[in-house]
Amino acid sequence: MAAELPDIQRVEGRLTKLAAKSLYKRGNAYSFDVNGQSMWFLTSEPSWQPTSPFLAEGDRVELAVLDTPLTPTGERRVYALRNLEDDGVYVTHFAWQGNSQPYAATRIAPGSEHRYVLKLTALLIGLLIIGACISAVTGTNRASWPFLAGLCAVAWLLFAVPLYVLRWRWNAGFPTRRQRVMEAVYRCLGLGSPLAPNRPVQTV
Amino acid sequence: MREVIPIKQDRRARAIKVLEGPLDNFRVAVTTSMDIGRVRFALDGIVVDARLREQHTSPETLQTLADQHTPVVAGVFEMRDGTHALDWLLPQGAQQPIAPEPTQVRVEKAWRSLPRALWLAASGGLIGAAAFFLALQIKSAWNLPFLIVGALAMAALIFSLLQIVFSFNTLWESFSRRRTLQLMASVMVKYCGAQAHGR
Repeated sequence: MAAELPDIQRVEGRLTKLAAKSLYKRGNAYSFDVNGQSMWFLTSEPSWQPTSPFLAEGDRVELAVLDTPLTPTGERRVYALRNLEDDGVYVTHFAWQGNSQPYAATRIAPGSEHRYVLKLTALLIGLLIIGACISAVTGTNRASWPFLAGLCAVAWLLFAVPLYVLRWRWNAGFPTRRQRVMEAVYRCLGLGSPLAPNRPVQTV
Repeated sequence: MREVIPIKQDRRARAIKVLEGPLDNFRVAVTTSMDIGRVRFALDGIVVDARLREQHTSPETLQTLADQHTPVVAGVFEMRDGTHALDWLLPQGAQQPIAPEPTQVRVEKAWRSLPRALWLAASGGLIGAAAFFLALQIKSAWNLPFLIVGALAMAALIFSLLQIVFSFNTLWESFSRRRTLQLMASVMVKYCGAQAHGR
């Protein structure tokens, strides 16, 4: 079929030299050593939310790691982490935002398309309502309304259709490369399929 | 487990549990400077999360309790997502529990901070609007001192708006969850005695 998947390796060990660093708008970076190998675990959610991963020094973990050094110093990048102390499973999605590398996984969590489409719908409807209020107050021309509404509809379609096409493809058994990477990650940690994981998974 | 009290009509919590025993498997999360003091421990076979910033303690206090295997009594909320969040914790032999600020105190603080924040927001907004209006209307007002004054006013406005939002959030939380919080306070008084600072 397509090109080979990236080399995903399962690593078990204890977290040592654990440190967290805020990347500000781009989330948090957790760096640690497992079995003498230094690794990066990049998450992208606000650090004050209780969903940020709970990692402590000396935890026993299972990792799905990209087995290719990305930096000159040889750090590995972590796809997913399972903390054996409290059985929390964290899978990285949002940190793959905007890079089209061959090893990247899906940018959003599987099955979370409705959330984004609903947010966009609310935003567009809010913008249209604000525009209607402004034009009602200032009394400007009404001729451009069909054009603006059409623009919003086109933006909505451009956003929603690709998301739902990708979702349909995965459900119908034709996953994209990123989706196959995700499946390999879930298989590596024994979590079942990404569409129906066999234990609660936190996306970070 | 000493006691389980189911709660209806609360957005977050599903039940109040009173647990006892020593702290097992005490772990301190590595975090960024935004939220220090996240700890997790097993008590009575239940994994409990705690954010010690609310309780105004440091992880070291609980670490010593865990190292010495001191039995504790703790009140936790069972959240809707199945996790457990610590509210108060009484080590054996201690007089005062490790507890967050009483709701009454938090509400009073929010009320006291409101007038000053509103005043700051109003003055910042007026000064900023005046600077903007002058810059639009008069050519000579489009200069650096006016820009600095406008930017400072805008910064003051934003900060005071944030403070107002947080105050209202506190007030709304303590109002909408008042039954749960009162119930937890009465449970704490029952286990810690009346000398524990009343909530």
